[in-house]
Amino acid sequence: MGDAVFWHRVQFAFTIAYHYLFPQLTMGLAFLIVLLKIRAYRSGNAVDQSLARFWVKVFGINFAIGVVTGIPMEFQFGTNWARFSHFAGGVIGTTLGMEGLFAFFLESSFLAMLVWGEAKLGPKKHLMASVALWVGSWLSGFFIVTTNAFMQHPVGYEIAANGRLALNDIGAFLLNPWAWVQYLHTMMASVLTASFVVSAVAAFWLLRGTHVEEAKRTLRVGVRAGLAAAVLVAFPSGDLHAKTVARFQPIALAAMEGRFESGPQAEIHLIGQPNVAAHRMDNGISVPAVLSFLAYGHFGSNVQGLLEFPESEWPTNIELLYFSFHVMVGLGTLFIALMALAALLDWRNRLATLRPLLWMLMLAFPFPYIATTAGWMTAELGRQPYVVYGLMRTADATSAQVHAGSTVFTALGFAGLYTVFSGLFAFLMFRTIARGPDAVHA
Amino acid sequence: MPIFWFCAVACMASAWAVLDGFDFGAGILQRFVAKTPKERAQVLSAIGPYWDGNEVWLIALGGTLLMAFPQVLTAAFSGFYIPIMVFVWSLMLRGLSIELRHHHESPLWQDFWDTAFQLGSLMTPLLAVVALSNVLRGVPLDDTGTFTVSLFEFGSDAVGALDAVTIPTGLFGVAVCALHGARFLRWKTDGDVERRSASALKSLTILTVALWAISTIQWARLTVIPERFREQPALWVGVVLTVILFVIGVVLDRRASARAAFVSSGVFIVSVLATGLACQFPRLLPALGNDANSLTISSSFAPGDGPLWAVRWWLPGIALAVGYFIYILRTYRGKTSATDGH
Repeated sequence: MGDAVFWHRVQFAFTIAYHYLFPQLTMGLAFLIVLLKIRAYRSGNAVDQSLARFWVKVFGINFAIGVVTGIPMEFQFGTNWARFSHFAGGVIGTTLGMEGLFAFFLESSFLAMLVWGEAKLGPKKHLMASVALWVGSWLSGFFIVTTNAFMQHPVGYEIAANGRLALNDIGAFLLNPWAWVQYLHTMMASVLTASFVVSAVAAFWLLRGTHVEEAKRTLRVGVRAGLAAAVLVAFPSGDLHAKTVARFQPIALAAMEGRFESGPQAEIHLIGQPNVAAHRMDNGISVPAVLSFLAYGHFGSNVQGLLEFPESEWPTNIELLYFSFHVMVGLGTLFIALMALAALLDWRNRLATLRPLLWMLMLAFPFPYIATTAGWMTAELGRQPYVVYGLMRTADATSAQVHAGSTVFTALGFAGLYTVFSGLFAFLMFRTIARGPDAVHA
Repeated sequence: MPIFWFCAVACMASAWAVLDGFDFGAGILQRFVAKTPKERAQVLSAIGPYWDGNEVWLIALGGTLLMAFPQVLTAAFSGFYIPIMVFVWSLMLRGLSIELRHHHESPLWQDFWDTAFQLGSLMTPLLAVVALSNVLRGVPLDDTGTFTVSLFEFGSDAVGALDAVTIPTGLFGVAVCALHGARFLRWKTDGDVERRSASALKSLTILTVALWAISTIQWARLTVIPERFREQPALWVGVVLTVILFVIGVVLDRRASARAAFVSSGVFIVSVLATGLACQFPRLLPALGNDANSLTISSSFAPGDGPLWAVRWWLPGIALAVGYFIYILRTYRGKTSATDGH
């Protein structure tokens, strides 16, 4: 059965990581589109309008793939994780049901109007359609993050007589302290991804010398939003998130930092490799006391190490967890630097002609995707060995009667299907971006 | 409380079947009623504003079922692992075909997606009705509340996900969707597509009646349903109502009001589903063999206050969904034309 658990985890990790490549762009882009549409609505300027239309088109392609790759996520709760859903369905069904009613209906009802309906709706209603997509997609993010937050830090529940989880306080469940911090962090990361994509497309047009006017306007939006988001991802949201992990999952924090011994003035590792077998860090370069400060607000605070906890409670893949966390934090720091530099040069009106920096902006867009994926891996690996923290272990959460063979078959099926999706998506995106916004006839 | 949620789940399932039913039908018929690329685009424009919202009824149904009757969802989904996954894949390909077709004006690209759309529109309701008829017939639940069945069984009385009962029923479901879709296209399109949809109605009616008869015979021969009718003669009301509604639809097809005929097949679908669900009430997932293992609305009901709280968000949520739908209907009133383009 251990084999089956492995394959269930591989399939879920793969399908969710692939799926989240799309919503992380569309949630952030929906917000930027609202900004672009408000500007176009106010100015009535044809270039602004054509630009908004272009980004709606990019949004439409990404949103379509986000929707279809989201479908299996919902089903897998039942097909692959039956024991988990049976155990926790009475609680997590609340947020998954609410997501359907409050987010998906809103998004799906106005999607066609946003993507195809501009001529029919007129400028005002079309702007409202873009607001509907923004609100809908951010609500969807909220319900999913709240569901995940319950798995990370269960609140508002009781254990019923039959051993299953029951919701007893919906307020506590929806206002889970973990959820709000994680939501803020996730949404800012989403705006960051969108800003990098927007900036990369603008940089591409500028480097190629096409759509120069549109590119300059796009770049300004991308760089400003990107700087704001890069800062907000780190502070306050990332900082608060680290404190939340320190408070509710000290074992995960210790593993994220490769910390084995407890003690005050805990150091933070800039680089190094955790050597789990020998219970130490190898080749570490570290700064003393910073981890204590980041986790608890005082340089002298004691930070517990892994050895203080029984090994059965340790995350199951400490190395991967450590590296995921460090990749995320390292990239996050670089994002602030890059966007600050770009924003400064843009403010001095020099960015649009500075080719080396444009090259960097154009090639930088994959990295927010990597950082976000690494961030989710940190959250999910840190929660191990539990599926619902402290209440149910991942090994006990799968569908007992689904064989490893069936799961290998479907995991490969998803891999094949998503390869096809990727090809079609890349074709459409390159084509759309190369064409750029429709020319404005004065 | 379990009865409220049983009704809520039944309503959501009905809404999904009626609404997604017509866009599945439009997809099944696209190849036959639309001959030129423009006409095919016209069919897609007719369902374009609705289909995604229609499909959300299924997703929202899944969430609600998980909240109110977690064990039913987990037992059914894990027990039918492979068929559910194939269903999901066909749902995904179909959704993508509608959304991506218009982003590239190339005949090859559009032919590819039209074919994916047509096949997906056929496979998805086929598998959905197969799954639903498995649930109504009963599954080999053991006393742990789980089961597995093989993907197909060709023996006349052997039980598999695809077998002598569920295959004809699935095809009947496809025929009903096609009929429903033809009525929708007759209502919401003009020109040649409207004319061809109207003239397809007769053969679709005959096909539906034939598959209906075959499925009924199989259900009567091979399932416990006749026993349920003996226990609960009131179920005949549902059967009579269903037949009357079908006849009304056939009569309306000869009249001018295409919308009335479309509404009648919507009500027909609801009455078929309602009768089916009523047969097994209060079981949600009946067990074959030992009825004590059946998952009923009370035995599978979620513990605690979750379902009680949920009434307060479910009702406003449904009101919003209905409101959006009415808004779309008003925004896109009138017929779509092959000359509209997007």
